[in-house]
Amino acid sequence: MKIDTLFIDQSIPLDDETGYLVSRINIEPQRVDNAKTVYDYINTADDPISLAKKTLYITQNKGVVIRNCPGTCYYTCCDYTILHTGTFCTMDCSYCILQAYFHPPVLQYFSGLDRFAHELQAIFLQNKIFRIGTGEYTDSLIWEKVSLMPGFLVKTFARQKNSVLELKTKTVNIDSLLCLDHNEKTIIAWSLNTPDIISSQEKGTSSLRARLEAARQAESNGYRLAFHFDPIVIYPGCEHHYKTVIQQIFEYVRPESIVWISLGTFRFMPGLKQVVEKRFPESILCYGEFILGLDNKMRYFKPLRINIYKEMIACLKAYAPDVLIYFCMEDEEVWEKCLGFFPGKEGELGNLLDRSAVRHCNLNGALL
Amino acid sequence: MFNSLCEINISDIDLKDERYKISPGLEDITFLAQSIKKIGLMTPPVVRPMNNHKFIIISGFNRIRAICHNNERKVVVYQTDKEASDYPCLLIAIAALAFKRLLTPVETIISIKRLSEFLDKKEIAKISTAVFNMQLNEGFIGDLLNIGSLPNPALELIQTGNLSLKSAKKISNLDKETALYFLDIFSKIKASASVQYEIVQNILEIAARDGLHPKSLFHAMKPPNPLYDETLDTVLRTHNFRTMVFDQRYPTLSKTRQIVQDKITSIKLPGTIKLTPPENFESRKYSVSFTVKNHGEFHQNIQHLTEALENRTLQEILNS
Repeated sequence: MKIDTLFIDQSIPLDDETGYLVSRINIEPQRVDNAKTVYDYINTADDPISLAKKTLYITQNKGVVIRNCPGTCYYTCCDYTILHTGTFCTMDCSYCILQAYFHPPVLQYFSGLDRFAHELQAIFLQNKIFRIGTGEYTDSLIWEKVSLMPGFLVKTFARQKNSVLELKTKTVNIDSLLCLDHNEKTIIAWSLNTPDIISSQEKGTSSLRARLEAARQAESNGYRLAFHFDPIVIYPGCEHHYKTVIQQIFEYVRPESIVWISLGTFRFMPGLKQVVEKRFPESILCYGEFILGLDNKMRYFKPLRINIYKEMIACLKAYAPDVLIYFCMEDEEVWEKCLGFFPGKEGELGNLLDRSAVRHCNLNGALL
Repeated sequence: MFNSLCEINISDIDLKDERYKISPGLEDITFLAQSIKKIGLMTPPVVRPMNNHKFIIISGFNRIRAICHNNERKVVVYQTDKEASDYPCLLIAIAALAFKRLLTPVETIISIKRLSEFLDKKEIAKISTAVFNMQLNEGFIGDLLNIGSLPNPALELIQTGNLSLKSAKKISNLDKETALYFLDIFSKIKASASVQYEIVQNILEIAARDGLHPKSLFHAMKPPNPLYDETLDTVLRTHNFRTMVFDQRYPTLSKTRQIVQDKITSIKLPGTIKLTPPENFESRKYSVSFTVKNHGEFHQNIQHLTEALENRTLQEILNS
C-alpha cells in the first residue's frame, strides 16, 4: 500500500536517517507536536485501519526499545527478544492481529539509529545468547526500500557474537541487504502460507514463489534462513497444499541454511473476528472450528491442530530431518503428540533455538 | 400545544384512526375500567380535533377503551389546537408514554420509525431526552430504524421476547429472504437472548463456510429438522434445533464430545459420581466429583472409583 500522508514529530531532525526516509517516500511531511494529531486524523476515518496503512508517522520510540516477547500463559513460548523499531504494517492480511492490537492502529517508524545502537550494545555485552527480532509488531522489511534501518541493523549485528537478528517478512525487500557483510548474524525469515491463503487473505504481500526466490537469493549471499508457517489455516485440502509448499521450500533452498521452522495454527483475540468480518466480508477465516483457548484466544479445536501439525512435520522431516521445528504457542499435548517431546522446563525451548542459532550463525557457543 | 380541557362525546372520537398509537396490541383494560368507574379518570387523554368534526386519539388509547367498556358517553380530554400538525402530536404521543414508564423496545422502534418521517437520526438524537426520557445516540437510532424495517412478524417476536434486539439488529443487515428465514425460526423456538444470537451467528457462519444460502442448510436432514417437528414442545424443539446447528457448525468438536460422553456412559459409574471431560478438550484435565450424605456413601463412592481403576475404557479416556 502506498503512503499518502506523512507525519513527523516536531522534535525529530531531518538527519541522514530521517532525511533519507522522507526523501524516498517523497511526500511533504507534516510536522506534529505529538501523537494525538495523528491519532485524531486516523480516528476520523470510517475505516481507521485502512487509513492507518497509508499514513506514516515518523517518531521516536518513547518506551522500551528492547523487550521480551509477551507470549501467553499456559502455552510454551520461545523466549524471543523484540527490538521495537516500529508498529503496524502497510500490507493488509485479513488475519493480522495488529488490526485489533493497537487502538488506534498507527503505522509508526521509530527513528534514532544511535539509540538502537546504544541499546543493542548493552545486549551484546551480556554473557548470554539472544535471538532478537523486529517482526513482532510490524513486518521487518516493509521499509527496506526507503530506510537505512535494516542495513544498519545487519551491519550492527555483524560485529558481535552473542546475538542473532531475525528479520521476519512477507515481502521480498532484500536488495539493499544482499551485498552487506552480515557475518552470518542475520537470519532472514519468511512467513509462508499456501498460494490460496496468500492470494485470498494476504493482500499486498509477495507471492509464495517470489518469497522463495528471495530466500534463494538471500541464501546465495550467505544469509541464514528461517520459515514460519504462521498462521496455518485449516480448510478442506489444506494438508496437501501445505505439503506442496514444504516441497517447494526445498526446491529453492538447502536444509542446511535453515536455522528453524516454526508452526502455528491461526489463533486470534476474540475481538479480531469483528474486524475481519467488517474489513474482509468475503473472508471465512474465522469460521473454522475455533474454541476459546486457555489464554482466552480463539484456537482451532486441538485434534484439528494436531492433525495438520503431524502431516506437516512428517513432510518437513522427510525433506530436512535435521532442521529444528518448533511450535509457536502450543501446549504439552501438542508437542508430545506431534514432535514426541515437550520442552517443558522454563527456557527449554529457548535453549533449543539458541543452540540452533549458535550452530548456524557462528555465535559464541560457550555462552550456551 | 394543547390549550383546552373539555368534555367530548365518545361517539365523536374516530377510534379507528390509530396513527399516534405506539404501543402494539391490545392490553387488558378490565382493571383500568374498574378504576375509572370507582375513582374516576385521573389523567385525561389527549385528542386532536380534525376537520370532519371528529377527534383522534393522541394519548390515552387504553383509557378511552376503558371508558367505552364502562359504556360511558362522554370523556374529559385535553384538546390540541385545531392547527396542530402531525409532528407535534406525535411528540405528545411519545412523551406522554415515555414520561409515564420506560418505553419497551418495540414502542421505541415504532416511535423512532414514525419520527423519522419528520426528522433525521441526528435530529432525533438531539430531542431524545425531552421526548423519550432517555438519551438515544445516532448509531442506536439507526439500528432501531433498520430493525423497524424488518418484515413481519419481527416486531411481534421482539415484543414477545422471541427475538432480542441484538439478534434483530444482526438479522436486519441481511437480505429480506434470509431475514424472513430467521424470523420463521424465531417464531418456532423460544430461547434466551444469548442463545438466539448464537443460533444466528452459527447459521450465518455455516452458510458462509459452505457457500450456501442459510435457507438451504438443513434441507436434506436426517432425522428431519426439529424446527418443523410439531410433536416437540417449544423447549425441546429449541434445544434440539440449537444442538443441530451447533453440531453442523462444530462437527469435529461435537463428534468428539459425543464419543467421549458415550465412553463415559459405558463405564457405568453410579449416578452419584460424575466424570466431566475438559471443556472443549483444550486442557487435559478431567474432573471427577461425587456427592455424599454420610460416611457410608463416601465409602461406597470410593469403592466404586477403586473398581473403576481397572476399567479399560476409563484408562482409554484418561490416557488418550
